[in-house]
Amino acid sequence: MSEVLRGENVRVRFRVKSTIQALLQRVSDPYIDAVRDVSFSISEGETFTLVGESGSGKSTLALAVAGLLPAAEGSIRFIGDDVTTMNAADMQTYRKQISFMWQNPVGSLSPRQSVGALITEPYIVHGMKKRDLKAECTRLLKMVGLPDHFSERYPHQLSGGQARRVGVARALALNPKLIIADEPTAGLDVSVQGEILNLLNRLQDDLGVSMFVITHNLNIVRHISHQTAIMYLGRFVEQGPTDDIFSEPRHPYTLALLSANPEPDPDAEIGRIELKGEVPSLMDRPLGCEFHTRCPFLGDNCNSVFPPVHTIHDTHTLTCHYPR
Amino acid sequence: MTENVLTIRDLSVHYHTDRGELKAMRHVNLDVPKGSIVGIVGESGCGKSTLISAIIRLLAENSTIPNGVVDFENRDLLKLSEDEMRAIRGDRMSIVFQDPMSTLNPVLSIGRQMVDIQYRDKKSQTEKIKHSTDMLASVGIPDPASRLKQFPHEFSGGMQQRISIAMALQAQPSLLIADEPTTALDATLEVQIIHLLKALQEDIGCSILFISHHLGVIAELCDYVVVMYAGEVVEEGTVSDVFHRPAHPYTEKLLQCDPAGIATKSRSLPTIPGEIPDLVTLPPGCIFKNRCEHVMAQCDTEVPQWTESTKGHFVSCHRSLS
Amino acid sequence: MSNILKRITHEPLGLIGLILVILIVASALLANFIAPYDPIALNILDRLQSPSANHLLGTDQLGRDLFSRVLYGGQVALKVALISIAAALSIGVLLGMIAGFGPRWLDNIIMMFFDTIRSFPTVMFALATVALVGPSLETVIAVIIVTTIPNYGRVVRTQTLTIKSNEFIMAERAMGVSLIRILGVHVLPNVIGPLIILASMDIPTVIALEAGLSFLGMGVKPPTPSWGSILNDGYTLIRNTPWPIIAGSIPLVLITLGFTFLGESLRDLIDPKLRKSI
Repeated sequence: MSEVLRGENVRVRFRVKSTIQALLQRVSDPYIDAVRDVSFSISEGETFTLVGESGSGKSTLALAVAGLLPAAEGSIRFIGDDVTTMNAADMQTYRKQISFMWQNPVGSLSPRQSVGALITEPYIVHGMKKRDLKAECTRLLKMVGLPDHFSERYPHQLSGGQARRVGVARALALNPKLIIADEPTAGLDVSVQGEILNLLNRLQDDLGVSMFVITHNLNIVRHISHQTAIMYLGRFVEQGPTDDIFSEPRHPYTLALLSANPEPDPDAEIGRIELKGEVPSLMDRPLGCEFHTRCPFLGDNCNSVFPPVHTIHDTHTLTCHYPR
Repeated sequence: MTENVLTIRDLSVHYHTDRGELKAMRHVNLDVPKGSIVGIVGESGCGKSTLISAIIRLLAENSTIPNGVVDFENRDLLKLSEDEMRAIRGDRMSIVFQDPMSTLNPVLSIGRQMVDIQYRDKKSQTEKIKHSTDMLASVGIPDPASRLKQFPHEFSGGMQQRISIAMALQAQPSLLIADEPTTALDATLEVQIIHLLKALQEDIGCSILFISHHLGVIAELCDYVVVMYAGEVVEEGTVSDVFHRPAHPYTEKLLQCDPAGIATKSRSLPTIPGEIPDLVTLPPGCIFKNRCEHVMAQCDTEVPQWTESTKGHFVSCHRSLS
Repeated sequence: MSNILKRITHEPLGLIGLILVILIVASALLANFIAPYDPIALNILDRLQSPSANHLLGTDQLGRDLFSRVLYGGQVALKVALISIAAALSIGVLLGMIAGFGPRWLDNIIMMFFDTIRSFPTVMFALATVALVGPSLETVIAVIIVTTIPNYGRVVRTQTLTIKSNEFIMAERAMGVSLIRILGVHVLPNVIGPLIILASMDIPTVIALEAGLSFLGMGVKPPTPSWGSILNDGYTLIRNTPWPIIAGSIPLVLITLGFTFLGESLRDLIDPKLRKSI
């Protein structure tokens, strides 16, 4: 299977202090790294899931992959072309081959546009006005399991689940090779989460599209994802094939996340790993292992030396001094 | 038989809308025993928000309560005057919401807000400040004395929620209503808040009404659970009974659908097909009939009765009677 | 649209407003057909007559039929109102969107431009311009346009700023949509709402402004009838006969009431619609 997306040592920075502020507050670095030294690879027809909590940098990385944020260092190669160094024309071509599904299903749809207009807009934007837009609209709606008359509805008339489907339909318009999905199940009731996930899986099986999924909901990862990365403070602390990560989680943070999602079983053994404190500020990254301030399995030199990368099986890696 | 701090019987709430009368809640029964944690589980449109608004008597203007009793500490809240209700809110009964910023005033310091709401107490200012400081410490805010001077935006989301909880429990209420308090928080923070609530509940001895759609949390935190669907309570019982032996088809399906409960990888997850019926033009019979796998002829015409299927385990379903 | 009309007609004030507006607009448009006399035809013998069957509102100091002058005056009023508001809207909306969506420095420049204009009292601005250029209908329209642009521009800018950070704008950018299309298709329809109400409430203001300028002799040149010039003439004759003043005032009052009622009921309509019904 060929590689569709490859990230190498990606770093995304934001400037948070002006030069004057930095001088007055004696801050040496006015930037924060929302994403720091991240590498990954996605093959054709595969789903890569990025798991992390708020402030982990996952949405930032997704925006960088989509070309909406610049990368300060590293490269993001889409079938060989580096997104971070593309000119405007190449970027437009790139945008034809990827799509983004946004976290807020209704809020990401332009409120005064009908569903039909929204779904077919990619054609207009990329100069394909000659296509029979009505036919394309019907085709796309059918793909996502919505009846034809939905093309006349407006975003505020859609339920969360329906709006998500419209988002998927729009993402599929130009037959993308890669779909970036930001929290595809956020805000959906448990009874309908399955619908959208099943849809994404089915489309992947039918069309061979690759997916880059961002979520904080570990429960869904196992069912849609081939590769998973766990993100903390802008770094991947553990990554590898999803099955490996779930069967042999090694990083304390991964273990904590997994234990934080209990089964709906009151008699289940609660091996809850409670993390201390809160996520540190990006302006004040902890020394040594950045997770050490919350780690329940603290060891020597965790607070002074940056941990090495351990490889469990060839692609399952983690950054920790004392993998469990 | 433990006494209840809150007993709701046959409560209905209707809203007047342009399209007609929306029967948002119908004949709801609910028991919250003293010193227990009761969870309410339900999805969008189940009536959770209406239920809470009805209990604290802050329903929208276009609402009516055609029938029902809300017995709180032996007084029917529906019959009290607004002044009497105000005496209860924040004192005997308090609420924590999903979004802490909707509880906290962004332009006042935490300390100012926490002392302000002690207006009913005859304590001195110093005593009130001490009480607030102690409350902040008990919810795990480090260095509480100095943080009292800070403003809400200076705290992270998790801390803001802890502060909201501290404010809610300051007056040592008999009932704390927690409306999806952890939904907006990350999973690791959620764990902390759940443990905190459990600890505080044991300490203060209050009851908690915990609303959430996160089944795992309900299973861990609550003693009893109530399942709501489209404005009705469809099942009520201990967490053990309801989660292990669900009596209502909706509860069964809900448990099946929860991805947390699905241990094996599956490319095709279960769902509950269909949608909630229109509550303005209420269909006859059982409200779940259009999505139920076990639907029978009776379901089409008769509304199922609220029955006790096993001790302490109630359900509203025709199947359980046959 | 039909839904809106239906709802307006259910409100008593809205209905009255709508009727008044239709009445005045129709009478102005049909002035050529319904005016009994030529508005500038002199007839000194019949000067300063009180209302009668021949002259519904009497005659002015030159014997001109006041009723006809009022009808034709409506044409002037409407012309001024429509042209100036349409132009101010177009330019104001464009500038407002650019200010809201574009880079900070451009926003600052445009806002400086707006604030400068707004710091002049409108009438002084008008008088100064007229003193420089000479009184005429075109001058009045130009002045009104320039002084109204900042009002619309500011509102649009604020709306645009709010919308700019919405997720759907990000989504459009992520699809590679051009800036022009984003502004025209995705921003404009979402900011124009409050402007419709603002503009409809401005119509009586603008008409009154024109009347005021014409009253001061700075607007429409005689003998063209304008409600303001009718008032001006009547002002000097008030001891002889009140009718010219009354004739000039009636249409102003009616149109102000009409558009105000209409505009307010439009605004009330839009607000409750935004409130989510359960």
